[in-house]
Amino acid sequence: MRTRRFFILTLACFSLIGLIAAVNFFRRPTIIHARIAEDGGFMPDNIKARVGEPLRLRLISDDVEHTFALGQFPMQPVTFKPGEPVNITLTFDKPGTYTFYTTTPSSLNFWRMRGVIEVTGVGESQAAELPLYVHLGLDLAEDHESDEEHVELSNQPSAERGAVFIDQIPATMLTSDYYVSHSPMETFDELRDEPALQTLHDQDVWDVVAYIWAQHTTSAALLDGEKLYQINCAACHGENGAGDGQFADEMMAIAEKNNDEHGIQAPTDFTDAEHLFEAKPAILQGLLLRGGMGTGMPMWGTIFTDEETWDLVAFLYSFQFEYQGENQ
Amino acid sequence: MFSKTRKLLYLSLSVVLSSTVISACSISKSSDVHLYMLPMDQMPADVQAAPVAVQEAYQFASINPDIMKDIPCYCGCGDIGHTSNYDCYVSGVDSQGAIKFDNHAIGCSICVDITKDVMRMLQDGKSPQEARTYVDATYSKYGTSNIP
Repeated sequence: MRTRRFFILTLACFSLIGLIAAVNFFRRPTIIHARIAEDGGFMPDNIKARVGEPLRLRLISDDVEHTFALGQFPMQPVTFKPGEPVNITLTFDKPGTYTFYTTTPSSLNFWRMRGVIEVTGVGESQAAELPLYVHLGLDLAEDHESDEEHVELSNQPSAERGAVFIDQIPATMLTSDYYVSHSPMETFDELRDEPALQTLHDQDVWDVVAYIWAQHTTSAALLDGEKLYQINCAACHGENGAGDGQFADEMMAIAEKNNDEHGIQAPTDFTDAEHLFEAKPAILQGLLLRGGMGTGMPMWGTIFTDEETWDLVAFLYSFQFEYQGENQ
Repeated sequence: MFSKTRKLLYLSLSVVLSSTVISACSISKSSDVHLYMLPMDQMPADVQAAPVAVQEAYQFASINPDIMKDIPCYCGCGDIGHTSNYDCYVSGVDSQGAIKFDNHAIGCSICVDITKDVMRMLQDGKSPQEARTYVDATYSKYGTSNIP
């Protein structure tokens, strides 16, 4: 009788331990180690989850400070340092492949620090659509190589000054379809040909172009675009868009060494008016979505939402246009 | 009394067993699929200095033309004559079988992402055709395929 009691008690203890172990197993986070891209990046870089089920992650840095950001998902980037692991929990409400990435410029190839979370289960998934530049029949490479016209400006084009001529702007030039498919230079040339604007100086016409561009953004969108730019783009393109970010010199050195037009290039200088004025918004959006085809410019299509991409496009033009007063 | 004890015994035993079974089943089964990879020492210096993700993509793509020549790339490289994702890594193979590497993928984001997706899916037991279907569905949102 005593033996049986002992046996039952032992078994009950083991049952309890087993139960606790099983519960703990389900609550155990997936550990993600982070090292600079040259030493491995995120490990693992492929995680699986299910819709509606909390995904627990423990972020551990093995070398320097890193960030865990998740594209197309409403969360703020999480920073974690060596010796200070961070636990996070994510719950997805729709299936899909989500890209996680770092926003910390830990090395030249920091943009390579990416991984995916494959979320399965029931939910609405987005149907694939062709990118706008493909719809419009635009060639991202060709447009960038187009002949540049010389632009002479005494002042930064101002949307506020351009608003004075609002009654003389053809209505078609204020539509979204027009905006996405025309470069500022093309718009300038078309305005130059408008009989009602013949008497204006070039500076005035550029102010009108700035006004037209300002109609397609808002203060909030520009702020969002600026935030995205500073977090994700400034390390190469520079805080002020001059192509002089912390990795610009290294990229320039690689470009000069390889001398390959389809290989890594120096970052684009957005303060170069003649270059930016040749770019249609749909081209900039396409380059953000797809990346720079071997140039070292990453693709952001899997990370930015459609709205974020357009906010960033609008912000890029603000390196040339003074929007203030016309996008409130 | 005996019957009550036996019930308790069975109950305890079933809890232990089910806990063990649940835990065991929940451990994600590591893939048995081994990808054929070219050793790193056969890679050019630029690739050896590249991030690990890029190195792995080169190691896999360059030695698996049978798979990668049927996987499209969406980075826009069709314009420079690439006819598959394989071409982003290899520009040619001579009559002796020596691979001439292409530096293009070192600076290409989407090229490497596509290759990594294929590697991941093959390791998950998916077929190359399933990987291609996934690549087409995922990347056609961002560019055009270089396989007509």
